[in-house]
Amino acid sequence: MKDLLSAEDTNDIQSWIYSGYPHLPKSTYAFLRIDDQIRARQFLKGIPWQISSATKSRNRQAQSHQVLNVAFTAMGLLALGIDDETVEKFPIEFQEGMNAPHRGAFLGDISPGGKPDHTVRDYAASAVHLLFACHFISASVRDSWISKFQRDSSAGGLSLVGLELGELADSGKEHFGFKDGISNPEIHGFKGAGSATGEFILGYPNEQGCMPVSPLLSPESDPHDLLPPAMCDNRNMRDLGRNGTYLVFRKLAQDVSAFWNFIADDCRRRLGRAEPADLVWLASKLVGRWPNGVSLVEAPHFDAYSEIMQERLKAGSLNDFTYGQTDTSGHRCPFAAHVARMNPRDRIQGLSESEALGTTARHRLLRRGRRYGPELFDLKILDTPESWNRLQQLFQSRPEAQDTTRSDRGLFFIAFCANIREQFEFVQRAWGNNPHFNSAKGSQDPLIGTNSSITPGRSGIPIPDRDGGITTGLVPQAVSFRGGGYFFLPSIAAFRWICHGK
Amino acid sequence: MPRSGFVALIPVAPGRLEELERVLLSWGNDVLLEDEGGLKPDAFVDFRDQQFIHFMRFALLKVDNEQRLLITADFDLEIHDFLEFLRRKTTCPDAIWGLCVGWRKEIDFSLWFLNFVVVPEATYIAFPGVTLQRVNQAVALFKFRDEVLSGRFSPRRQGITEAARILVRVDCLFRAAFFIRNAAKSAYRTIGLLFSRKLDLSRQEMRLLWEGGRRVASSLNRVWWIRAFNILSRNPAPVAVPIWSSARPPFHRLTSFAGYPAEDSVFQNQLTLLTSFPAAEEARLRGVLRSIDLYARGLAFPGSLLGIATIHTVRWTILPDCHGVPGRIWLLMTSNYDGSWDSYISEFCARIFSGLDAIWGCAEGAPPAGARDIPAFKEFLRTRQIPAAVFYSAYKGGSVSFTRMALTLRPVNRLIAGLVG
Repeated sequence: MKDLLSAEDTNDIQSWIYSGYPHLPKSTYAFLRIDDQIRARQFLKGIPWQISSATKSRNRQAQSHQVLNVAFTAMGLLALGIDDETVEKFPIEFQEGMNAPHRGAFLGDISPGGKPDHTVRDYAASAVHLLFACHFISASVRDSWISKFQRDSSAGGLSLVGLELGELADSGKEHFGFKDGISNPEIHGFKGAGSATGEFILGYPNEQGCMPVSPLLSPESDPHDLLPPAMCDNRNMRDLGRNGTYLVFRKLAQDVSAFWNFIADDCRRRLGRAEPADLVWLASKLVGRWPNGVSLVEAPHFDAYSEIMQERLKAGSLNDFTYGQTDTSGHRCPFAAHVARMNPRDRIQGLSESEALGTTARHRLLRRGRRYGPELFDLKILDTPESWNRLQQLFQSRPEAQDTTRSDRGLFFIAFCANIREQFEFVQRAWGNNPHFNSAKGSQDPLIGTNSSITPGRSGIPIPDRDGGITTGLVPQAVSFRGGGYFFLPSIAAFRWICHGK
Repeated sequence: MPRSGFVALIPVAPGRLEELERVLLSWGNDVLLEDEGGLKPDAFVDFRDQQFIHFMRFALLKVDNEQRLLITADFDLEIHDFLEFLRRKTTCPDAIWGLCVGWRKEIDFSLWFLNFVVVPEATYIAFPGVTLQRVNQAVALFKFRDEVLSGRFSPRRQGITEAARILVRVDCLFRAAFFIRNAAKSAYRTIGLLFSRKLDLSRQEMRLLWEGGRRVASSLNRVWWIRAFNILSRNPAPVAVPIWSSARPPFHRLTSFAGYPAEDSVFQNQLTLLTSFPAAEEARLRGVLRSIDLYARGLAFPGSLLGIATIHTVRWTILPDCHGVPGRIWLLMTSNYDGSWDSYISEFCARIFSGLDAIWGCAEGAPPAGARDIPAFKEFLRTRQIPAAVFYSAYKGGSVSFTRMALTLRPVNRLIAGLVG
């Protein structure tokens, strides 16, 4: 059940699943619509050799200056002429897409009554057929690729619906100033340890010993013998999903002023002052980590030069902790903090530590997010107490025009999972937006929760301590959903099959 | 006052179903948020006016072409007193009972109603014998303790806050006392059950009970004494052979149940599930359910059914008198639980899948791989779930785990309240 992947399989898996490309800081996400099926097929037939595989990514010498990955929406598969019967074999959430009205309500993107709480303006769901995601070593390489790609794709019967530019900051921080993308599961098939391969790659057993839903085709559907046979008791079928996965893409805009102003206001409301240390303390309590990424569980007090912080930062082992033994009551990292909701590890109310770990393992996401837009302030100032004063100057008064640039900034939430419903949607709904998860006392996730009018009676974030603790004021909607979709990231063999058709 | 409850299935008069549905839906529902039609204060039972109903639901079922009105309730009264309360409260009996079979103004309401009360095969109640008043008091004391500890309550009387903080440090003593008391109670109840007449079983029934219990226990190795039982009775955990999910197109929309857009935003939720079985399975099914019943009545600790601490009550009832389709029986499960449906089912599937398989493994339409195949199992349940037309929960702010904590620490919290005076 938990074997390493064969060389053949790693060669077939798109490299994005293997690596987030930390050495390629620039990225672009091109959303395309297929206008001409025949020309598009011809164009796409030339793509598979450009797609990087996990083997290439593993072999560091072969790392190039740019890496291409391609994913499809369900509409895209139909637009390429894949028959309804095959597309209907995909899970319903993928078929419907993220922007279907009831699914939007389910995820909290739209209020239950259908009143849109966010402007899903960036992409209409039906218009996006393909996602070309390319990562680059520098902006110049990116620019030249984009101009060439625009020419080629329009000649290939594709029109560009949207083009997004992402980047990975040197500091690894998102726009609020916190280190991002720390907690990422390892895949057993690659590393020999970590989550079951089937949690993130189709065609393998997951933590439950069950194969994720994957479209199985009859051998007649694959005359060129491109697809691998299905495993276990379905060996006579061909597995279109094997070595592929589902990709969740969400563009989340971040209102940095709103977030830090809320922090400053809340400190002032409770303490009558907004000392820099209080600001960082409160913001870190909401996130669950200090700005440099060290967990509140390991370092309950910020001391940039303390042994544990230095050790964690040096070793890069920011993720090696559990709540259970040290923080059962949430006095260090609150239950309602963002990281404790998204990955509760061994601390879920009503479960023992080992049971909670088992539950968490079934709802993990492999994240490949990048941020976009310029920084509002130098985020590195958050890492050393000496420069915190700067933060106080930035947010001590409340001029709305602090963000003079009015730039759009935020992050692209990109995650892989073998079961969108049990992984992404579950985490978003049952953990993130659920006002009653783990002593949340009516609050929602302080960062990605739908902190809007959807849930009446919702409350601020409870921050417990030995003396009862505090509850913050209502958190503003500092992160808002701007658009996104569910994609199928096929294996390279499946990509060839899709281009060839039946 | 004793804690009791019932499951009643009243046949609906032919052609009156839609009318009845309209009446029920107009009362609102606690699975909905207020602006979507939460339970209305002027519903036919004024739920604000009482201190003894824990949960109540009304739902409309269709069993083998027969329409039935399902009523379940949990309350702190004798059933006769409760029915008397119900009768008194029904301002316009014709508007609801008049739409059911056999109701006339002249007849005795309780006697008429009792005809339709069915005895559940298995019942689990998180806090048996604990009245709603006691729960409310414990929760209020717990909230009061928070107030005192935060110092907000009596800023000038710092001494009290300090004393309370010292008391809180010895919480563990009260937890231990709670544990010991309940362990003793469990042992006493179990011994009582074993020697009671209820267990006067035939050989065949004993065998079914034993087999059912073994099947439920096989995936519960995480509980030390069940592990010991499994080792001693050579009852290995089911082998997890990799299997394909049997979730197959056409896929059902599982996002949220029709009519409950805010299913996860409410504290308490309910599940009414109607599944059918081949009649040949009846004896086996009864064996499994009786073993669960025995556990729930005897060994179960307050607030925890085999380690799952989200269930307030659950009842499994094999429906009698359903002869529409020969060779088929119906199992009704009614449960009141905390939080989101997704988590609730996922927890069950992951942690006691052999128990779920023992119950639903041979239900019609159950996934071949059983509860281990979570997507298919969720689909199986969702397509057999029945919406509650009316649902009332008294636990507006209290999950099972919170209630358990409040009850455990009630003595220490009373001391703190006593300090304040």
